[in-house]
Amino acid sequence: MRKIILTTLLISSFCFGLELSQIEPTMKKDLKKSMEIMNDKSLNNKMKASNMFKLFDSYFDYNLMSKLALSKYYEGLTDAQKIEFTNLFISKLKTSFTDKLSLYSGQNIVVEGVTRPNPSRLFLNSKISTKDKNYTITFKFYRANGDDFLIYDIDILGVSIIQTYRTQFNDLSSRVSFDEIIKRLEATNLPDKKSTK
Amino acid sequence: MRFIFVISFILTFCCSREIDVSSFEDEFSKDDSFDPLKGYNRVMTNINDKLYKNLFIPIFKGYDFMVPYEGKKAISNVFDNIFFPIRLVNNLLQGKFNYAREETLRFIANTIVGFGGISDVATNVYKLKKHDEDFGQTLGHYGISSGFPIVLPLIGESNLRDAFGLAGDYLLNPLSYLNVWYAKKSEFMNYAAKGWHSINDNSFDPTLYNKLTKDAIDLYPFIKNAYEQRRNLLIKE
Repeated sequence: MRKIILTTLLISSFCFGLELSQIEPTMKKDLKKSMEIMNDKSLNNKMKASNMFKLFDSYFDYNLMSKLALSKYYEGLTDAQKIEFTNLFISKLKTSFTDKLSLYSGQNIVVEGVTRPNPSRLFLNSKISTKDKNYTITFKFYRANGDDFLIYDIDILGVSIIQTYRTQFNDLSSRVSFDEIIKRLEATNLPDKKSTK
Repeated sequence: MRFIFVISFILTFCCSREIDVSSFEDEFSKDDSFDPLKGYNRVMTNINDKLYKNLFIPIFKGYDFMVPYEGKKAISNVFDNIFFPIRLVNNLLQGKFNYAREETLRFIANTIVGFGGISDVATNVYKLKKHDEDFGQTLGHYGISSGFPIVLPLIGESNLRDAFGLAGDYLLNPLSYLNVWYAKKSEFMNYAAKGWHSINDNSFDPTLYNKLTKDAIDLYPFIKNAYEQRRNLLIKE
């Protein structure tokens, strides 16, 4: 419980955003550092994830990601359920993103530039090159407040992480209870002990 | 303790910005897609999942243990060179003539200088890029929608358009004619060669399937959605 509350406090306190002009240089610096962390053999997976998200926490909008993932189902939850879901989902997102980056440990991630689909969105395009293939990762920012931008989704190889969760939660919410969804999130958050049905 | 909880709650829901979530809705696809085979698809996804985890991955691991990286790479290059007609015809059908030209130059370079495709000199020396295209992508290029999802035994997630596309790729795949050219009246060679190609390719990262599906909270919609998103991107490219 203490851990959940602490996480909630951290989320609400440190989400500042990046100014438009700072997005590309900050991301270049932080992505380089994150790959160094992933390649550091002296750290275990938990420490890698913890160190890596110290870099990203200030500009990942986890609350919005949780709302987008649950879509229309989110508004039907009680406040306590929203907190419970958000905390579990944040943990899931962090584990998921760390796992994905760990697939490419030993490689470098290069920022290739930005695209602006509209004035309130900015997509930062990056690429991981291995011996055989290139893998694209797009960080999607939205204008949160004035000139501050926050990340609301990540596309890996053209697959939106939030979209995959929306589809799963949409399907699940029509078949099982909220408690069952929470149980499944908890199960998939356990290291190497997940089960899917 | 209760005090901390109240503070936490206030910080999260009162001090946080109220974002208009509806402005994001258009960026995500609707989740109520037509899925008449949903029951079958779920069952087949679970069967394929069990097959992957208990049969295919151990085979990929065993192959990976026995064949060194250089050997697997050479075999993969040879198969890639053999599949040239699939890429050529689909690039032509999509009007991507520069890509078709580049594919042809790749085939010539790899066949002659690369010893029948063993070495990918086209990429490594001549900097000629490979342009993967299949018949499903060609149909998508001409605006044919994906149709409903179909999970194929062993092959995995697909949709009506791509399943139809597989038939086109089958006809363009030289491995489909080994029985005509080498093993008279027996299609065993065809399946053996295709199986070898699949095992060789998957052995580069034997547990990739586990890594990709590790995030799934509900396996069937996860794979279905990731597949559709990936295919849509490949069609746009």
